[in-house]
Amino acid sequence: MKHRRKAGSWLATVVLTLYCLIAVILIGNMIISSFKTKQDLLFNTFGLPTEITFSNYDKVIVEDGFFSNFINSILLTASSIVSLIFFSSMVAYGIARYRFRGKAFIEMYFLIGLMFPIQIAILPLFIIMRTLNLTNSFLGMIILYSANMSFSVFIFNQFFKQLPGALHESALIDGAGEFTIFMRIMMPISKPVISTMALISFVQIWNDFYLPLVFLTKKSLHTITLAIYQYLANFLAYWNYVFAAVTLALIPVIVIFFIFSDQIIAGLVAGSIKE
Amino acid sequence: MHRSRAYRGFIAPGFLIYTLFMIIPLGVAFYYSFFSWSGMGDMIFIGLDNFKKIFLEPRMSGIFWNALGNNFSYMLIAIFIFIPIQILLAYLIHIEIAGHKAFKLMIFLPYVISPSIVGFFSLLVFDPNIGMLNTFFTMIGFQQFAGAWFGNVNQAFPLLVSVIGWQGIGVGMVIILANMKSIPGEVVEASIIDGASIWNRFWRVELPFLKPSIINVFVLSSIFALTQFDLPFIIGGLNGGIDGKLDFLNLVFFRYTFGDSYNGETAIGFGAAISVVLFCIIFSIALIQNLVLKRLFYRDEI
Amino acid sequence: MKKVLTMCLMLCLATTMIFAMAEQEKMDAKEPVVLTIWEHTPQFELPLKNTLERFMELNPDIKVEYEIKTPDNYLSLLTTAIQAGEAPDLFWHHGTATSDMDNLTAQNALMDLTSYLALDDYSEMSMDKVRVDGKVYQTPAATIDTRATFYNKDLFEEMGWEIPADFAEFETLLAKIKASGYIPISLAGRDSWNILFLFEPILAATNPDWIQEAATGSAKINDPRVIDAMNKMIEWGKKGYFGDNFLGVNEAGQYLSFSKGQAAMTVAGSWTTDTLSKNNPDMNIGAFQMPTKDGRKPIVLTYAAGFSVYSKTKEKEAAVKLAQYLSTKESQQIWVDGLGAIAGLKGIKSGSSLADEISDANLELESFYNIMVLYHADGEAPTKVWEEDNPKLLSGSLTAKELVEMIDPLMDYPNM
Repeated sequence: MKHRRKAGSWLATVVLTLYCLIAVILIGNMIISSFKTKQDLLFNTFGLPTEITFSNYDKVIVEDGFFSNFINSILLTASSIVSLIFFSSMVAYGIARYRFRGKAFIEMYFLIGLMFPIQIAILPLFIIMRTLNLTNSFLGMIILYSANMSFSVFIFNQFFKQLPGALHESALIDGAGEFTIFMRIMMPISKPVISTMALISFVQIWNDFYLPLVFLTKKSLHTITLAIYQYLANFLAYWNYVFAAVTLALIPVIVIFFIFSDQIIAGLVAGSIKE
Repeated sequence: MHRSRAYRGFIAPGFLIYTLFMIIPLGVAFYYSFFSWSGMGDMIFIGLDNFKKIFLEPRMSGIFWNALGNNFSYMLIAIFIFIPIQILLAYLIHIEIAGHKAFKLMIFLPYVISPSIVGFFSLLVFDPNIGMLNTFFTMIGFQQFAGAWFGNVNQAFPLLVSVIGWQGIGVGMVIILANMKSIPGEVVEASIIDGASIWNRFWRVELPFLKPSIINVFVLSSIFALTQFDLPFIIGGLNGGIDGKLDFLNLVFFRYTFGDSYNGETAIGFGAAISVVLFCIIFSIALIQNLVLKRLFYRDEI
Repeated sequence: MKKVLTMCLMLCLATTMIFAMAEQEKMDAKEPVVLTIWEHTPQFELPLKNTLERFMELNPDIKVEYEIKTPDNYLSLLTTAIQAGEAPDLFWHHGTATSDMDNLTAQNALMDLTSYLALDDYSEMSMDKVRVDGKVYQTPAATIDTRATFYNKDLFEEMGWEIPADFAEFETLLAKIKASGYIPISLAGRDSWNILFLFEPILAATNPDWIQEAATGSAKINDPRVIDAMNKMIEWGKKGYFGDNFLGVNEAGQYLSFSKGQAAMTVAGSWTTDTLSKNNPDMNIGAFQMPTKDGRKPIVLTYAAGFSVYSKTKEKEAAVKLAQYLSTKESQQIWVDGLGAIAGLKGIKSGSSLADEISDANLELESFYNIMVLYHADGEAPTKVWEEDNPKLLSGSLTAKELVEMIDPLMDYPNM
């Protein structure tokens, strides 16, 4: 779909460019600041560095072992997303594509998780996790993040609802089993919503510090967000490291966003809905 | 849609972990709300006293209604200002205005930055003494524009809402955009051949297709508005900012449940009561929206 | 593409599970005695680390792992862990400064350390923080927490400003600094704790007699002298002594504007000494106590508290050993040095010259906040009201009289 660009659209381009400058300035300033000495940061907060230093990165990466946090974050986030999407898309599919008694109730039931602050449930949750020997374990965290599926179920549910019923019927006639239909037909055409969901949950899990703070107490298991939070909690003593750590944490997010935004488009170009 | 027992197989695994790791802990928390309990030691059953305190004690109810008011103001802004903006942004990117790819990335980008870092940015931008804004105004000689920002009773709330919007607006946009992309091409092309203007095409042809994603964003924005916590906490502090302008229910909950680092008082029972009230409010709003939206949008399908 | 992606993700999942299991096995394997200790803020990481390293040198058979939490979540984490029966072997808490001690002892969560520790040299005030009914439940701390007026020595010298000898001189100084275009005192008008740490010295300087009476429970919180001190603070705010837009400043902003040289002074807790000196190592920082009208130097004293041993610890012997070490002078000296803190124990030197300047005083006073903790009635905590509402004094939506009238009914004065 290409259109000739009109004056109005150029105006929009200009306005949006200005708007996006906010993010560019903030993130650009952060990256630049990560190469400044503490002294420079204090007196020359927003300018270019008077001397470029790598000492902040040295401290963050070498001394504080940021890479091990990094690997923890990546392992934890990636596995949690796969598991979350697997469970939540199945639940949503079951709700959206079948007619059964108590459906409205089940739909609401899966929304409840969004309506409470998770902090209030932390004590009972802690006892459950402890009993199952799931504290200080990534497996436990993956289960927790998968259980936190309200948002994801909601989005998948809305998506599956609007797919034409004929899709399913024709597959049934072909003699495919219910699960095969789900995996072979429904999942492929759900690419756009899966990538959107993966992206959003990536951000949420990557940035979450509360659950790791409670359940990953061993330093060797700490995630990136936990490490950054420690710097921020003693902000003044560490504020030169904050910039370096945040820059390092942001890079994979941006990279992943690039990959996934192509995925979204690729999934759409296939245009499977029309088939 | 059809009848088959197969739905059980799909729902069961998710249902199990969701129930065990979300619903049961929440249910236990629900139960705490009838007790006077610090989180350790004896639990004393006090019936509805925690709830009475929220609504009847003058000081507490003042704090409660102020915070709820802020939650609702933010919700209205999210619905009536942010959603139209999100649709507009998605549409601009959809019709591929110059630079649309970069815009999609840049508008979404703030969302991937964790709230504590956004809070850190807001210090760098808005701090009256060392922040970018006041430094800039002083530098170009317009000192009169330098302000207290989050310390100004009139500006604090709109500013906070803008920061939240800046951070989160991309999510709704991406959801709506994904939906736009799934509009069958021939429908749109037919309208182009008919000579419909971009504006007309949007209203008559494309908007109706966007129902599902707009409903999603609508319901989710409302829930997020009512459970707002991170940015108000980081920007305004635990006590709800200047004159309580940045106080939200989840902040009240956190403040009364866990105290803070200096004041070591925890009150799990009372905190649970606050979260139960919060839950009831969100639940009823979600129910109402569900009914209203179904009537508005799915009339023909029922 | 899709297959590759799926494979990658599945691989991740599998690896994680293996990792998780390996982790589990490691935990089951027999190792030398391992203790875990919790501290509530990264600010104390350095002294804790140094202390523990020395302890492990002395006791090679014991390995101590520390976990630093964050202040805003510490209490909920500790409460949760104790309630679940899984608390660390040793942990920090507020002691009797808050209700922590009552709650924890009521739960039998703390081991009685009375017979294990040699504490003869510790002052009564520091022992009060760790003792209930004559039993010691926590290692006492040798650091004194107080508040101080920090000033930029270089700037004072350059401008010819002098350290004020009495309260009138202090106010003249504020006016002079203001007139020369600097912020006299940087203040986080948004954060109630920073307001407290300014208010307490003002109260001590203007009406020390009220504090002395109130400390024994024989003066009320809605006394005109308290209102007078609050009004003084409000007046300074209106005169611009905290900067034009101080209501929008938070704690970090308060210290940064001092470190940047925008503000000539800042009034803050003594534990910020280290942060302030590290933030701008080139600045010469001095400190004094805000003087009274008759030229005395009052100091608001509070003692910190140390670590408790968990009653259900599986490594009782080692945990007691560590507690014993934590209360020795050697470990206290390491701690004080690591923090640059003020020493409050015979035979221990303060951690910096700045600490000596801070403790140069001749009138020791109780903290306003502690008075509210000491003499609160049952029910709503007076400190809660104070914390929530003190920023409203400065924003002008609450008068001093209104605030103290709200707090007064929550108090129970023993001698009134």
